[in-house]
Amino acid sequence: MESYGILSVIPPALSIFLAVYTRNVIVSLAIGGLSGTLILGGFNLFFAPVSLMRDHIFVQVASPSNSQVIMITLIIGGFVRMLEESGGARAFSAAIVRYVSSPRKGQLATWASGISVFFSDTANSLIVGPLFRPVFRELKICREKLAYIIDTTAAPVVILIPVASWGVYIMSLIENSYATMGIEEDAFTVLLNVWPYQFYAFLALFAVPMVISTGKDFGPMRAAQKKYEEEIRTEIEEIKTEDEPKLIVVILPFAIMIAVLGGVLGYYALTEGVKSIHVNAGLCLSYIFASMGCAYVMKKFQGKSYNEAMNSFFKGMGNLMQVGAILALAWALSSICRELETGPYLATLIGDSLNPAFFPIVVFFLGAMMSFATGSSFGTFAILMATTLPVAHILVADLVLTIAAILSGGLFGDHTSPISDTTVLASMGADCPHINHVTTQLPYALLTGIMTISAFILLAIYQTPYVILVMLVLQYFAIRFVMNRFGE
Amino acid sequence: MEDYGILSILPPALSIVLAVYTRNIIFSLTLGAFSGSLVLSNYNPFLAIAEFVETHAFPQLSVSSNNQVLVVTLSIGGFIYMLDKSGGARAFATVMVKFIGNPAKAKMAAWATGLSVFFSDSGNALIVGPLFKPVFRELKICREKLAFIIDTTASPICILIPFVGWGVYIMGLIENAYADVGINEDSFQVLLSIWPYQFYAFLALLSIPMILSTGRDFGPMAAAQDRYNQALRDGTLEDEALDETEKKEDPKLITVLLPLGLMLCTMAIYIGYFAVTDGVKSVHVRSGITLAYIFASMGCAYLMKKNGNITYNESLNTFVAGMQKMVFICIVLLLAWTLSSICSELKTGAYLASLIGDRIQPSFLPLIVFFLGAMMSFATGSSYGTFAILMVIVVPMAHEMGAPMILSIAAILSGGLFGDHTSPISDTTVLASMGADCPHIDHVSTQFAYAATNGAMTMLAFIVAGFYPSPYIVFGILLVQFIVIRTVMKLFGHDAHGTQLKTS
Repeated sequence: MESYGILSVIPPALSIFLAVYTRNVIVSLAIGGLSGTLILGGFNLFFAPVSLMRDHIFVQVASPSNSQVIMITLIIGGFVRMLEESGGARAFSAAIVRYVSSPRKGQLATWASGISVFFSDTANSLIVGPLFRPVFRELKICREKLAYIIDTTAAPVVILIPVASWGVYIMSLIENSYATMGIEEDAFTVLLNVWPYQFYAFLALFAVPMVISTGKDFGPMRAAQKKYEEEIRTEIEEIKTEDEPKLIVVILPFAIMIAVLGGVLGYYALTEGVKSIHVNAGLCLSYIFASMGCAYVMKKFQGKSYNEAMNSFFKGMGNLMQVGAILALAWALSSICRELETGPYLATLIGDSLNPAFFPIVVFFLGAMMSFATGSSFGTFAILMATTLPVAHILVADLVLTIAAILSGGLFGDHTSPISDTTVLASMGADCPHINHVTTQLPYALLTGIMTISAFILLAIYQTPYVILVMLVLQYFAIRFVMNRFGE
Repeated sequence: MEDYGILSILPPALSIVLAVYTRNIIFSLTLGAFSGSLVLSNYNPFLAIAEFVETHAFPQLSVSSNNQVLVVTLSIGGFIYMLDKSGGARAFATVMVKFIGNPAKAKMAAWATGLSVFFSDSGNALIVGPLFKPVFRELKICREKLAFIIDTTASPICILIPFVGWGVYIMGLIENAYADVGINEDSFQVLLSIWPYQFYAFLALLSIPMILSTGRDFGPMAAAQDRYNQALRDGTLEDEALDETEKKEDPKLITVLLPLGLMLCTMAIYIGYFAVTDGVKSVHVRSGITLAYIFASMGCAYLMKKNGNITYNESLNTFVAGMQKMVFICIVLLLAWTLSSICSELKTGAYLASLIGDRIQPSFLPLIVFFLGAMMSFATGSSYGTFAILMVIVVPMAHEMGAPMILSIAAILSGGLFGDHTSPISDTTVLASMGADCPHIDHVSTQFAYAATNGAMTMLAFIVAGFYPSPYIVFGILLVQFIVIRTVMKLFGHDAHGTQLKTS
């Protein structure tokens, strides 16, 4: 095996650079991957594309766990689409809205609805946003606040649910990386271990009720709220109270989903232990059966035929095709990096200069920057899992913490980035100008980000899952302090 | 290994019945395959569902050749959609129209244009149809004739080109079926050896110039032309405004030539390179095809940027949107593979072969398969679905019986194509009516007489081939077809312009 030295850094570096520059994850990954096969093939321009296709993309997509992930991702896409069309998602939120009376309660209800729509980040913004818009208007709260709440309850919630699409995606990246390093560990177990260390997700989620409970705002958000109160809007908006979808519309699919998933996992837990393939099969089946439930409900309440329902399922699958393409390319890049030994090379560079305990902090910064610059937390996860995990392995840094740092960093960058799709969707859902949303959200997100860094520092000293509890208390006081000092 | 006997034909039989009954190929394949896994798991429905996904669907998905087929299918979808959007295909056909020096040759030109749009079946009907509508109108030829021509040049041409979506799809099915019976043969080679036996495709394609050359029509088509002439005389023909003129400046020809050129070059270079070095294997063909389509799409994107000011990001989105259109086909493929994996475990093929093996001569198997395929495809309107289900049953059966494998597969293809061509509920038939803008039922009934002639010829070809398998049969049968068409036209045909010539 020859050593490629500095050349081995080119594919990921090029991918990151291009992702920042072009903001197009697919093209960046493809070119990065191509540069890798070019290096591997001795700069044979003719052979490099074939090799990328044949030795990396085809091989990676065909690996059992990867192909299962693509399958599940697509099926979830189909299900989410059906849930949207059947009005089930709306019904879900509508049930909560009934008990809203004060501004605080209104915001808390938004937060709770956001959390309850845990299965999809995009659905979150697009369902909760429009639903609560009229409520916010009535309670005289500015749209920016709504955008902040739904943006914060989108990705951070989804990332904490291991059976939603994010969990599946992250699991696949972990599995791939672990296989590269030769570690035999079930990805699902790893994900569960990482769970208590997902600081940014927890802190961001709980920052919302903390902020709401003070009844105050600071910085740009306060300015936005003031401006809003001054120009009390008079424009008539669509108050088309469509006939409220029945609650059964949502309860049935979810009950089916949970029953099937529970049944399959329970069965295997009793017989041969829950392996990744069982989780994947269970997910596939539960989402398919839940979609059938949706189709039944659509037929019953909306008079849609099963064929129509099936077509919307396919449309939903198609919507996630881009994610599938990103996945395939990210896997290919990671397989190329493995062959180039990028990870080992990077480790030799920073190996001596760094205390392994602080490695997660470095990774968090890296992730935040990349994700902020590219607007894609999925892309960041893919690149960092492929590059930093092998380094962590060689440095003997804690792998679980490194993964947690990747996730927190990526999430933080994604949350604050103006070019992230979830940020854009939150502005869309809340119907407020995009730049306003980004600027008003930034101080809140930064506060959470600082807390997250402190958490990782604290963790470097005392490693325990209870750090998160300490941090939550600290954050509570920090928010109180800031609000009393600068808020109004 | 226990013997499942009659139960082993339950999955494919159920699939076929459901396909005909519900016309929903995905639903039918799923239930069929599920019934199989139910049998395999001793009627434990809970285990059957889990097994279905874990031991059949997931492993099939990760078989590398299957996976490659999916990747290729998706990239083809992306490219076709881009070509559509860039207006390149239209430009191409427009130029073909310009080459019609003599307007009397319009019908032949429609045929030739249809042939040249070989990369997409739906594109064929939708592009060629609207282009030739005004030409046919001017020449006072009925729309039904146009619909017949574009319908016939749609699928039959696509099935004959190994590197478009049809070829890739069929290769995927063949590879899987072969792997299940344990034949180790490269699917690309198989597809090439089947090529000369795709009787229906050849006969249908070449029947058009034969019919046109007689200058006559017979049966419903002649009646349609009479009706059209009558309507013309009465002036009752709704005179739809020639809104065709509102089309913007013609897209440049380069928008199609560059991408297609890139595609063919890339493909030729890579396949040529591998042919010289380590032999053309399916995996090389597929990488070559995928790259070819991706490069061609890049060419498209470049031109769209240059001529249409469409950003690369938008182009990428277009490509992805095209991929989305292929999801349906990918699901059908996956389910077909799953069904095939279940059938091989149930030994369906062996059972069927033992059932009818002694009663009929293996040489007649292709003929039977052709009938079966035609009926199924006619009833379901889906040639893709027919291919998928029949490939699972027929390949193992032919293997057990010692029937000619290549011919049997060719019979599946011909049968499926024939049924699809004549079926009123097939999407290609509907698209042809749409493209030619003629009432759907009229198109179906006028086309039927011609298609049935081809079908009869195809049957004849399979009978002969069953006894004397030779690639040259297709020439013989073409000659016979020529004579038959001439005779039929002499006996029953009217002048293609009917009474219109005398009256005007």
